[in-house]
Amino acid sequence: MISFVEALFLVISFFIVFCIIMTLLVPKTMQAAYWLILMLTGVAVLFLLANSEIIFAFQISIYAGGISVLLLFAALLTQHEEYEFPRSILGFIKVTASQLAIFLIIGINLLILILTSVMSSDFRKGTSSQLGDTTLTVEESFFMTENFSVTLWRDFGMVIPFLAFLLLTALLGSVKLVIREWEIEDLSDVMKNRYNPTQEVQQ
Amino acid sequence: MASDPGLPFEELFIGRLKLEPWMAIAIGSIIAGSYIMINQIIAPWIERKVMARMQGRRGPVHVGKWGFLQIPADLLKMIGKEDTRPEGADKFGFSLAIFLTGTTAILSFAPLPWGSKGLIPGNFSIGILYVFAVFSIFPPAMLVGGWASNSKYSLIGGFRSAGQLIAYEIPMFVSILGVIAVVGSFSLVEITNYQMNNGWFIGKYYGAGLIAGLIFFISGVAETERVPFDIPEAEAELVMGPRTEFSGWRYALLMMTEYLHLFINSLLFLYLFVGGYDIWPVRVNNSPSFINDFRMNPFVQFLAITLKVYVLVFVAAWMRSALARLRIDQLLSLGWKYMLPVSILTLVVFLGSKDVFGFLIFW
Repeated sequence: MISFVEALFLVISFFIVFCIIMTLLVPKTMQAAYWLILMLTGVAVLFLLANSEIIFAFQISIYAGGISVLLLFAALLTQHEEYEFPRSILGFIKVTASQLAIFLIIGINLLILILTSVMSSDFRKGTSSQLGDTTLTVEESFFMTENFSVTLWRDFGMVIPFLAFLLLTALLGSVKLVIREWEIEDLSDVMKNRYNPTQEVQQ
Repeated sequence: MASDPGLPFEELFIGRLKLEPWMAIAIGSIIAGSYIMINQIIAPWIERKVMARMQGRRGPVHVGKWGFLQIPADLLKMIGKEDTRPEGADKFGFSLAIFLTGTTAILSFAPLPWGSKGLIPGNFSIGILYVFAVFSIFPPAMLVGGWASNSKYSLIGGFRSAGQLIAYEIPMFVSILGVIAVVGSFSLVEITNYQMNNGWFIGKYYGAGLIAGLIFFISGVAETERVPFDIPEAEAELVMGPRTEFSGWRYALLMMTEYLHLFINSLLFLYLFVGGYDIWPVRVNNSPSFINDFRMNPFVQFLAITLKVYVLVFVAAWMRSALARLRIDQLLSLGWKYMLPVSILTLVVFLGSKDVFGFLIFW
């Protein structure tokens, strides 16, 4: 018989997957941003189910609150065209072949990581307690987190620097793209000198 | 539900009536929710009456005795209105903004205790952190709501709202770090109990408690976007800010959220600096025993916290009728240039007084 917490876990997991798919499918950047916020909130609720209250609070305040405002500001203050999702699957693979390959490599790695964590007995111990039960000791409630981080840093140590490098590249690339969108002629004299130092502008 | 098995509420529902824990949580949530909803009707009426007296008017008089039923009448009117959405608005985002602002405002009340032996819907160990976490969903919700309305007033209002909320969340949190560090807990129950044993924080640490409390309260007013910090609304420039296009029940829900935020801000200020449901501002050892018995009475504590909240509702109404709106640059410079450094200073005084000059602490 499936318990209440397990049922809730399944419902929220499906909600998260649904939000991720919607984030990819919606045509507008702002819509993708708010689906992402919903996804991040769902992940926070999973942490709450695992009795990791502190991680829940930080997931909500940093990711669902802080980072998402940044994303929304970035989406609203930069120029971007609406993205039409390719109708056929073949067209989708054609357009996004390289991204898809990287995504699959990382995705499969993370899937194995999550499965190994979820299958372990410590995780079940962490989630099988009653909802809202605060009588668990800190040690017990962090079993699942501890197990997850051990797996993360011992077995999958190589994935993390790779991910970090990828994110850094994406960040720098996006900054570069935004800078390139400015027309040099529209900038003030000081900025013109900064971006085009060979041609001194008459002050 | 509370973790301490000695609490009468838990003893009654789980110990004597043998209810399931989730059922006790549900009953607790319903009681606390009803209390908040009833005050939702009383607080706006008091605010309108106070503001009217200060402006030489009479306020609501027609519906009910002294116009007491004006707010429920307004609510019925708004619920009965046609539900409209602007042309070209983002359907899902328009509803999502309302849903997020409403639910987060109600969820913020979960870890607030209504008495040391009384009612607490969810006694999280992270109490205050939980409230801040849930509240931080409000800025993106306002931004999404502003964008989804497909109106320039809403969008500009949404930008201003998000910028203001982020600017004031930081001094607000830094000002309470000292309290958290001194008590050594995030739980609002423990913070209040500490103040019951050691005196209220507002009168401690050479005035640093008072300054930190003021910073927290002012930041809270800015977070609730009330006068003089109602720049996102700014009715002369932006009609109603991010709320412009919401009408009918959506507007009613947004108004309710505004008053819920006022309550949350007032309650947090009370729990963190003014002793919460405590009535005696000094140490237990120095006060007579009959006062100790009196202050531990759950009913007295419940009345005390309600009365204190209404004093702050009065102050909010007073500010609303007495002060003029700040400009956006004044608002941001006040937050980043003055309140943040001063709140860091108070944190230093809090920590220094506790660890280095511990023998000099008042009371």
